[in-house]
Amino acid sequence: MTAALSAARAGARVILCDEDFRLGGRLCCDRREIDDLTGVDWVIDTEKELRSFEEVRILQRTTVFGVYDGATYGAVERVADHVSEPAPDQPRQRLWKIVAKRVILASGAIERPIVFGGNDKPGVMLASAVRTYVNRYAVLPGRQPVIFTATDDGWRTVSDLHARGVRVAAVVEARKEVNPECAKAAARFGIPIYMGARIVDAWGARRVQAVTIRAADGRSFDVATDLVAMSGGWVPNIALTTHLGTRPEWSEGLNAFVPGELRGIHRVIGAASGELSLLGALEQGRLIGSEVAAGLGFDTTERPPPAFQTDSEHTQTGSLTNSIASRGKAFIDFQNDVTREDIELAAREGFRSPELVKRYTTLGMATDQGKLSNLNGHAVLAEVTHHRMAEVGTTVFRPPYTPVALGALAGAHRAEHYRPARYTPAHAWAKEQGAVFSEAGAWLRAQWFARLGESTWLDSVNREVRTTRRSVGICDVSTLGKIEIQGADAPAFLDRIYINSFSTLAPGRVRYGLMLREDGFVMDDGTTAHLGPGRYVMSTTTANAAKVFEHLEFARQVLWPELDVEFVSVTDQWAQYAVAGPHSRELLQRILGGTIDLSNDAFAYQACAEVEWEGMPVRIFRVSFSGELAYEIAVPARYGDAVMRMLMAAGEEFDVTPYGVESLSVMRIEKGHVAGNELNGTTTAADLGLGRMMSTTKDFIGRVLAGRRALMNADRPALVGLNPVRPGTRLHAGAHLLPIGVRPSLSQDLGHVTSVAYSPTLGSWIGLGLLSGGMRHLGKRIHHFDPLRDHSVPVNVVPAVHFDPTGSRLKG
Amino acid sequence: MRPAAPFAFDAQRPPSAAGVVACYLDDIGIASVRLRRSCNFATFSQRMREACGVKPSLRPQCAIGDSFRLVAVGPGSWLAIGGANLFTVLRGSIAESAALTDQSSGYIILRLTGPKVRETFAKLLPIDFHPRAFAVGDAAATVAAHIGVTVWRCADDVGGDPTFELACLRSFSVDLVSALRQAAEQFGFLLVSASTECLRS
Repeated sequence: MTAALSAARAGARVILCDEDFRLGGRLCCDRREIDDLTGVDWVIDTEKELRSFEEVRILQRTTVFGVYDGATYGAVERVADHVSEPAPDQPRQRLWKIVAKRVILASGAIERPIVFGGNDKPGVMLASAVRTYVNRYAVLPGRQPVIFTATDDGWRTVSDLHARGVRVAAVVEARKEVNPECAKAAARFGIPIYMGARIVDAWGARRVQAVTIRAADGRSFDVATDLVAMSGGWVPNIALTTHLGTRPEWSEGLNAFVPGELRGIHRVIGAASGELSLLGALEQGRLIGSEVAAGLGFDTTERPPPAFQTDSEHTQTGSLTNSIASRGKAFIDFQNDVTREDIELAAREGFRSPELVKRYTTLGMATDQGKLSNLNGHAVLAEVTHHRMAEVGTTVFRPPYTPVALGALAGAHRAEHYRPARYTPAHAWAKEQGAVFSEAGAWLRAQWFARLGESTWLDSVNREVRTTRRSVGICDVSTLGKIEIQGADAPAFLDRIYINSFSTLAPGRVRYGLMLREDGFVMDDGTTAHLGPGRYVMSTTTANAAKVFEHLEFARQVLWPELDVEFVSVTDQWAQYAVAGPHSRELLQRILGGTIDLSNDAFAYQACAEVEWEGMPVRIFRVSFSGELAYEIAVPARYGDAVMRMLMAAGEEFDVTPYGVESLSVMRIEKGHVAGNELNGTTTAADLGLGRMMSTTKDFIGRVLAGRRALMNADRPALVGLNPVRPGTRLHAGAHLLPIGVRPSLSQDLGHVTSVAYSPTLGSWIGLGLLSGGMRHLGKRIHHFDPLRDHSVPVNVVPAVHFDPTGSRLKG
Repeated sequence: MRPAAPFAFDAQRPPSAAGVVACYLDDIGIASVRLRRSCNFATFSQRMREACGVKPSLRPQCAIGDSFRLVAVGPGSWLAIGGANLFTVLRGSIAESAALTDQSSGYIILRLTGPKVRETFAKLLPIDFHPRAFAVGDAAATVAAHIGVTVWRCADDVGGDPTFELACLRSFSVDLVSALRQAAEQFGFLLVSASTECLRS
């Protein structure tokens, strides 16, 4: 608090995270005085001042659980765990990611339990816990307490209990001597004090009823009690200091590990740094807070804060021997039931490093994370292996400091907010039409449009394909990547990206292009349209849009920064619809009217145009994935929904159908067009039957490595068409291809079936496959072997283009 | 033909009841502006100043003009935002020095204002919007709920509330608005449609 205050007074932005539901730490639990105020009143005043600063944010009930690279801190705020009925917009817990310029850690210390027989019995607790009950919560945890201490601090418990009218039955001090100031109260109240003594066993059935004390002279006796307050020392809470790899150091004076030398932006103050006195901690906070603010350029000279005054205090700690035999079990890790004997056994078994002891015994694992147990466990290990603590060392901590609920980490990213989706401009329209959507990356695409009376998806798809091939169909292709390319060197740039030539593409024309990765394998395919001088629009597959864009950026920024070429993604700018089928021209012409003449003469296959229609720019491409006479029309996305409805209305007289990606896929398989299943990162242009597209008169990305001998091998799996020998037999994508009559084995494998569809046009299942030797097998029979579905049938190897091999329809 | 917004708007309430008011600018013109390799920055800057009255920044900042914004989104790359005729205006003035692409439908622009905008942003955007860390005119390309966004700070509104504008790809905007609504609901959230009039400085 003093550090936060110093920094805030200097004008710094401060986030103060406190695990507790009120500020003040031990000041809320011990009876202390600061500057003539009680500790509690001082906390109230200080909090008031902190809250008066606009730049101070106090996060209560907030645990900083981890320190991460880049000065990032994870914290969990327990927002509503304590509220019986949280507000509807309140999360139970909230994850904070804090990126700080400087960090001051004042995480305090954890009191160390003492190891003796029966120390897990109800009624045995830390002395600090007893004082917290008494002072903070007005709860009396026992009426006949015994205090077992090795610290000056433990003696505080005597007067705190006395102030509540409780007489302490005995004080057992492990040290032979103690500062007389500490023992003054106990002596005044006439409480029996046993110096150099210890409790060896605690007795009782449901709770502690008596303890056996072994006095300094060796004699043992029992004392009746209902509460044992133990104080084994204060262990700096250094977990967060080790998250970035700093190893703790042993302090002989404190009998505990203290933070190692911290690098960078971290400072540790107060008990966490080993400064156990209140005055020391207050002063440290005041100075370091101001120092840190000054380091960030804030003026700290204006109002130097006054020094503090506190009540007198003693903070000495003795060292305890832990391996004293007891009758009852002496627990070290209360959460994992690790006893002193377990550690001794581990040492006898040869596990002498704390890391190994941890794994062998579960000491300090899980919820404990070493907080209560580590030091005692390591002390026992040191004793039985005759090492000093500094030699034994310690395990270190990793995040999280306390368990963090997965729900807190997930935060708002659940249910419909789990991850964002991309919707096409006509998404709402497609939903109205009964579309079933599938995911393509983040995009949602209509898979098919179910109509009343269609019982399976295949019914819908068959209808869509038949209608399109017979009349006209419309498909939303807005999700395909669109990249607008401009600049004087755009033609040269495209020539180097694609395997085929684009500098020869006249304005107003579209060309199919294939691009390779640098290693010679196919990266993606699509069409690029030459819109006007120095202006092109490239289309990519939906799946590869981002990858292709990065590829182009790499080429432009790294390979050829000298080229005058610029490009941006316009995928979201345009809603684009494929209108396909024998009536596509009539349909479109009906809408566009006199804006453009779509006849063969005026707008031949692979033409493109930009026109102004209805006050907006419209792009029309005569391209065809379906193999039909087809056009794609692109309109600004904000008009996409309206234009789709307009197209559908105009198509009514042609019995137009919307079709989804399933029908798209059926028609492309009928036409032998490759798609994602074939453009799978392992195929070359030649494998796909597109080898002759590779220009020999220019350089392009992938040219050299595509010429490697292995990639030219005629036995590589290459694209073929597949038909079942018995019509009507179903084929399966993923099935292996084998010679007829051999015992299936990998050595006989000739490739696999990549794409399969039921073709309503041909009345048969058809497929595409990658077959070793490719078209050399044309006309032969091979084996379609699908051990997964236990489905083996003979198939004929046929040309990949199953339907309209001359392409007469698309030029219609 | 009517342009369509990707999402539905809230019934108007008095904006004072809302901690965050998001205005979707529906008749807006947006364009990508990329400095051509063949042109130097000084010439481009001069042309831009003549055409639109603002100086393009080379740092992540937004030059704010009267009903015009020029947000630097990368090296040699800006997003221009203005009236519906923006693309035509730019094409007539700076096409020589910059490659222009109409993006009026490619992005959506939300103007966010209200006393709780920063607290809402703290839930969604992983960057610091403290007034000292993110001054008027500062811009950043970052993410909100896993969605790429470009955000810049405008002058506080007449009531003194912080005001930001945010651009996001249209296809992601439905889910962005849904995430915004979820984050701002506790403060009162209002999504309205407004004309580019509100870009006036």
